Amino acid sequence: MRKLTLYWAPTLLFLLCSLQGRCQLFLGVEGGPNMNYLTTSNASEPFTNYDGMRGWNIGIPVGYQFFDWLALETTPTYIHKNFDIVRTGFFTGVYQKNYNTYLQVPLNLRFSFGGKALRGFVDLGGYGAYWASGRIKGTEANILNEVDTAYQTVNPTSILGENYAYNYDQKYVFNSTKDNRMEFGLIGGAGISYELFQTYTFYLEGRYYRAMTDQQKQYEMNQAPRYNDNYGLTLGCTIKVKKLFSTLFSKK
Amino acid sequence: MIQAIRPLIARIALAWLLGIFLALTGCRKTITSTPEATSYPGDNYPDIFQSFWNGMNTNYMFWGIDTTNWDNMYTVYKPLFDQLTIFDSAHEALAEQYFSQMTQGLIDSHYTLEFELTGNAFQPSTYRRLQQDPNYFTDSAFPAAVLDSLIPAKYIDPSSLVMGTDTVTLEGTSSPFTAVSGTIRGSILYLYFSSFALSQAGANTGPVLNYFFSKLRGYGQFKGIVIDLRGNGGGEVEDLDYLVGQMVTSQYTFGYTRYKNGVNRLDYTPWAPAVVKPWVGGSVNVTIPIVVLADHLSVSMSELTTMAIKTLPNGKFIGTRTWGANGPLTSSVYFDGGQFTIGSAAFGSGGYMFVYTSSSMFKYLNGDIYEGVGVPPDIYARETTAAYLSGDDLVLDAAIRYIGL
Repeated sequence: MRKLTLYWAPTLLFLLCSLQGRCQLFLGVEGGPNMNYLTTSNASEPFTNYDGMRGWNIGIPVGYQFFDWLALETTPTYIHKNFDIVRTGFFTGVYQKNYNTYLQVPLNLRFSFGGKALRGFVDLGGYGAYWASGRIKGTEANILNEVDTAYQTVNPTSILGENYAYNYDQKYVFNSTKDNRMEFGLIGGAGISYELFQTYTFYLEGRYYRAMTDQQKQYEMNQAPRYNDNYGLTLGCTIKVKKLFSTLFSKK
Repeated sequence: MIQAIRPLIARIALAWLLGIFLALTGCRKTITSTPEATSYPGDNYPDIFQSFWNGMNTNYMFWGIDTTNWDNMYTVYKPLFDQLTIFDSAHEALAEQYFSQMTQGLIDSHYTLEFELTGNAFQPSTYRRLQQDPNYFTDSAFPAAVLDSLIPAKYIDPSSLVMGTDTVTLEGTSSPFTAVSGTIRGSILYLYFSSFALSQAGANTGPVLNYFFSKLRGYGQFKGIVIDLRGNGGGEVEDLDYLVGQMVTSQYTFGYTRYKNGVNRLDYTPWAPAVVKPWVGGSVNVTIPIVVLADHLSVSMSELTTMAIKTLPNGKFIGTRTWGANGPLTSSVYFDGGQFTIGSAAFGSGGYMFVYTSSSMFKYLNGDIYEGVGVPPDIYARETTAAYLSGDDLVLDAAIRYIGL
């Protein structure tokens, strides 16, 4: 029932409003940096942290402005959801940066408030995303590349003093048993916008993408789930198509 | 019209908000903090079972290729362990039986369960081999003691023979370390040693290694080199460069290793190249044939060394398929996966049980993983008891023929 509400309510809104002459189609471009965190359990991994990593996203917002206070929007987006596995203490120097690219399609309602030109807004909605590619870059201790082959019986102060580091920077190879390449989640955002000439809208928004599906398939009992939590800052500009056309093609 | 449907749109927007709120609060799975296997109290059998099952889930290296259904083990054995209510000899016997049944199909051929209360141990690879062939360890075996006597007496040129035995310590256990070197018909440089503890060579075995490596420096007088690893149970990884690294002058890759880097079964690092480096104390570029002899009792470092030598353009492996324990193993503190102890809180530092298992997975240069199946020889040759009794080493004979004497 909840899913029906989420999926059909916007569609119904769209259909209803399409029948109305007052609907305003807008489209534009947006982009900005983001910070992604992998939320998981690492209680049984000593000296291991899952740290957030920066990335960026770029999207093409398309939407309908139903009323001054309500719009329906979708923004096909190319987005990074990166994270870093970092080992500490004796293991310092061992890490793996995970660069993941998703193609994401959100659908959200934008609730606006405020004056004519300068307005505040809140975005709420959901998204579906496809994990398109990945790259891993890191360092691991190489057990079959020993440092001490001269039997000097030194006491290493780090794992990389015991085994030479293996540095890698390579494409991530997906594992069909493990990796769940479809991701669904929720969007929450808030920002301010400024409308110029009643046609162009510039906006700055803080946005949170909360994955509700595990990054892995359920392939074992007692599996530690992994969720992306992505915090972004987006700068964008949209154009009201009808206004633009009427301006461009109006007879002077 | 738009004014007329305004209340409807407002209701839809409200439903949307409610839907988002419900989704926010209800959809994610609970992220439980499964503790390390060593962190369980371990003062009752159900807790020990849970600790062991989780420890294996996280630490066992071979889930990516092992066909054991570990989830099914949980379903089947949890109720059985729940019935074990007190620690006594009868329950302990049952517990050890259950743990053995759970693990008997694991391919990790280092894998051993050591039960500290009774001193019993269970090794799945040994169990399986004896199931397949009750005479695995006796029929056609070539024990070290036999090797020591036959080869020095019949094959090694008497004037060149150097041999000795010292005591070494491997993983906390003292054991005899025997080494033999010399020449065969003046044209083959031969080396045998019983375990990879070359750094511990003492007064009796040090001269053997010194002889071999000094002759190696002037290898031009020989037609071939034979490294005999039959019956060798493995040992220290450092010996790889010390032995093979003295026969090459440039680094080369002979396989790959990977490790666990997460708590779930399929969380692995990328494959890292397994390399042999020229030894820091000096090396020569040996171009004559290097033959490594190994058999079904060659384990771990013996197998890695066998693969390292057979990778060389002038390397050849003669013998029988090896034991199949190639996943390098080191103390559990170094890598995310590998050996672990359970029940330390209740039973002291030795714990209730020690799980001896590989720290990494090894893949040979050609992409094959020989864990559990053993490294196949380039040239098959097998010693038999009958041949030994008649004074022949069929495997060494095959090596001599290959070298061309």
